[in-house]
Amino acid sequence: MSSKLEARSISRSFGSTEVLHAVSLTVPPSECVALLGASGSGKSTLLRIIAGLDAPSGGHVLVDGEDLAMVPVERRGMALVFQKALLFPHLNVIDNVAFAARMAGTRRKEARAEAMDYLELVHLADYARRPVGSLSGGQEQRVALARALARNPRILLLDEPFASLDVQLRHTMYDLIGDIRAQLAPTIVVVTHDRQEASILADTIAVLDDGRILQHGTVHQVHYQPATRTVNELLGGLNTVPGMVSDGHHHSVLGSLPVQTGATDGPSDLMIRQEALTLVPARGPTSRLTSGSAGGEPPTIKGCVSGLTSLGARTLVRVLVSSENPTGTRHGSSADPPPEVSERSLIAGGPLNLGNTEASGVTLTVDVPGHPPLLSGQVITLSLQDQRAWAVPTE
Amino acid sequence: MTALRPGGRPSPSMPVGIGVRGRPVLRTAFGVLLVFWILVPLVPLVLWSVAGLWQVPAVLPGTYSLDAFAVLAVPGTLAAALSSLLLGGTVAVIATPLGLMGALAAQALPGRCGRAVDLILLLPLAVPPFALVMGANITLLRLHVPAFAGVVLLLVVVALPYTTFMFRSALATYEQRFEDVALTLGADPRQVLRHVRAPLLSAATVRAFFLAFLVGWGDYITTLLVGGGQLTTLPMLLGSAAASTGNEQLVAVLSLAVIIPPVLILAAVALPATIRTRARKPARTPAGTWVRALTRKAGL
Repeated sequence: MSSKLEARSISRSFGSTEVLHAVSLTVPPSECVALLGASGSGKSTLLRIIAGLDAPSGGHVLVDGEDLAMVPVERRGMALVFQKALLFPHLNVIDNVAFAARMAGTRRKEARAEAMDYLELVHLADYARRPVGSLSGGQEQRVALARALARNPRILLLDEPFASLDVQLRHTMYDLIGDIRAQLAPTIVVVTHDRQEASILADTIAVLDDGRILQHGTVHQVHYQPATRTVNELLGGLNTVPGMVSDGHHHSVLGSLPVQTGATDGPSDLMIRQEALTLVPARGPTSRLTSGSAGGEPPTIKGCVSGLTSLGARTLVRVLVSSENPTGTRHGSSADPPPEVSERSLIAGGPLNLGNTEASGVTLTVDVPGHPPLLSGQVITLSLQDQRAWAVPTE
Repeated sequence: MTALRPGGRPSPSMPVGIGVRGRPVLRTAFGVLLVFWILVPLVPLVLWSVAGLWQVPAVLPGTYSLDAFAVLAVPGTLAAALSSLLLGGTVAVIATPLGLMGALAAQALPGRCGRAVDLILLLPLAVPPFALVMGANITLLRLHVPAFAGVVLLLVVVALPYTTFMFRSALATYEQRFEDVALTLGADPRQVLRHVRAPLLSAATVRAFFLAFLVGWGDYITTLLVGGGQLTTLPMLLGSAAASTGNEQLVAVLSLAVIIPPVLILAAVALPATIRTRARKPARTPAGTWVRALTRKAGL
C-alpha cells in the first residue's frame, strides 16, 4: 500500500511570483512527513502539486521512482484530505466512503461492504446511513479520513486536516492517525502550521519558509538543532543570541558556551530552546557557580527575572542576563565568581522582548513546569540541559 | 430592560417583547400577507371559472357551473397546451445549458471582464420584450426563420438572464474542492461531472430550467408577433378569448389552465423536499435541501 515519494526540484510560479523554489523532498515508504510552515509558505501548493491538482513550473514528482508528470490525478493512487471535510452532501456517510470503490467500478453492495470496514476503523460504523449534514465536525473529519483510506492510496496527503477541530478532538484524531499507521502503514504527507501537531504525527518535519525547505529532519533535530534562525522561530524557539563562534565556543553577552561540533567560525546566532533551560535551586548568595564541562555539570547562566507568563500548567520565565553578568560558568576560563547583578538597573532598563538582545544584555525565556514562586527582579541561575546550545551562522 | 440583539448581546434600549418574541410574530404576519398578496387575485379567477351566473353587485356568483371546463377537452385547447409545453420545454432545454455556460464564463473571467459578461447576460431584462420583438421580427422574417424557431430564439434570449442568474448564485457558493477530492479518489473528469458537479448543481439546474420553461409556457407577445398566428399556444387562446366580452368563465378556465400546470410542477418538485426535510434532521441550508431532494436519483 505504501510507496516512496520524491519531489525533485519542484518550482511553482504564479505570474511573476515564485511560490516554490526548487523544493526537494523524499518520503520513505510508510513514513509520515510533516510540511511545517506559516501561511503562504507554499506548503499547500507543494501538496497540490504532489497530488497532481496543480502543475509545477519545474521539477518532478516521483512515486517508487516513476515520474508522475504525465499521470493524471485520478491515476496517481493518492488520496487527499483537506482542512474542510468536503463530504459530498448528496451522499450519505457510507456512500461517501464507498465513493472511490464506486468510481473504480465496484458494485454498490460490495463497495458499501468495503466502506463499512473503513467506517469501523474510524469508529463510525453506526453512522453509516446518516446524512452527512447530521455529523459533527470531528465525525465529518473521521469520515473524510475513512473515505480517503478506502481509496487504498499509495500515499495519503493531509492538508491541515485537523486545524478546524478543538484541542480535545484534535488529540483524538492524532490517536486515530496512530491507529491507522499501525494497521495500514500508509506513506503520509501532512501539511500543518502547528509545530505540536507536526511533532506528534510525523517521523520527520520539513520546515518550509517562503517557498524553500529550510530543514528536513527528525522532530528532535528541527527543535534542538535548527538549520537557521527562521527554523528555530518557526519551531517556537524563543531564545536567539547573536555572537561569534570560534574554537567550538559561542561568544556573546552570555559569555562563552560550548556549541556543537563542526560549528562554523564567524558571526553566529546561538539557539537555546526554552525547554532546554532549567532553574537551578538557589545555593545562597555566596555560592560559587561551578564550571560546566570542566566540572562535569551543565553550564549555568545567572540573570534576573524580568517577567512571567502563565501557560496554564507551565510558565514562561523571562530572565534578563546582563553583559556585566554573563554565563556563571565560563568554560576553560577562570572559576572566579561572576559579578553580582545590580537588580535595580536591570529592572529599570531590562528589555522584555523574548530572546532579544539589548546593548546591556539579553532576555532569555525559560519554560518551567507549574508556577515558580519568582518575583520580578529576583536573581536566579539557569542551567543548560545536555549542553543543548546550537549555533548557526547569522542570516 | 434588556433584550437580545442579533449578535446575542443584550441591548439596553430594546424591550424584551420586541427583541425576542415580537420579531417572529412580525415575520409570520408579513409571510401571511405575502401569501394573500399572491393568492387573493386568484380567488375571483377561481370563482369566475365555476360561476354560472354572476351579476353586479353580487359579491358571489348566483349560480355555479362547471360547463366552462369543457373547453379544456376541446382538441384545439389540447393542441395549444401541447404547443405551450413544447415551447416552454424547448426554451428551457436551450436556455439552461447556455445559462450555465454564461455563468461559468462570467465566473472564470477576472474582475471587470466577468462583470461585463454578467451585464451582457442580464441586459435582456432591461429591454422591454415588446421592443425586443419588434426589433428582431423584421430580421427573422427576412431570414425566413420558421415561426416556432423564431419564437424560441427570442424567448431563449429573454430566459437567459434568469438561468444565468440561477447558476451564478449557485456557482458563487460552489466548492471547487469537491471536484479535487473526487479526482484524488479516483474519479475521472467525466465521473466528476456526473457524480459530483451535476448533483451539486442540480438544484440550480432545476430552478433555471423551471424559470426558462415559464418564460416559454406563459409567453404571449413574442408568440403573437413572431409566430404571426401560426403558433397557437394556451396564452394565445387566452388572449383571443379575453379580447371579446361575455367570455368571463372561459377566460377564467383558460387562465387557470395556464397557471395550474407550472404550480403543479413546482409542488411536485418542492413538496418531497419539504416532507423529507421535516421527516429527518433539518438540512443546513435550503440549497442543501434542494440538492439532497432533487439529486438523490442522480447520485450513486
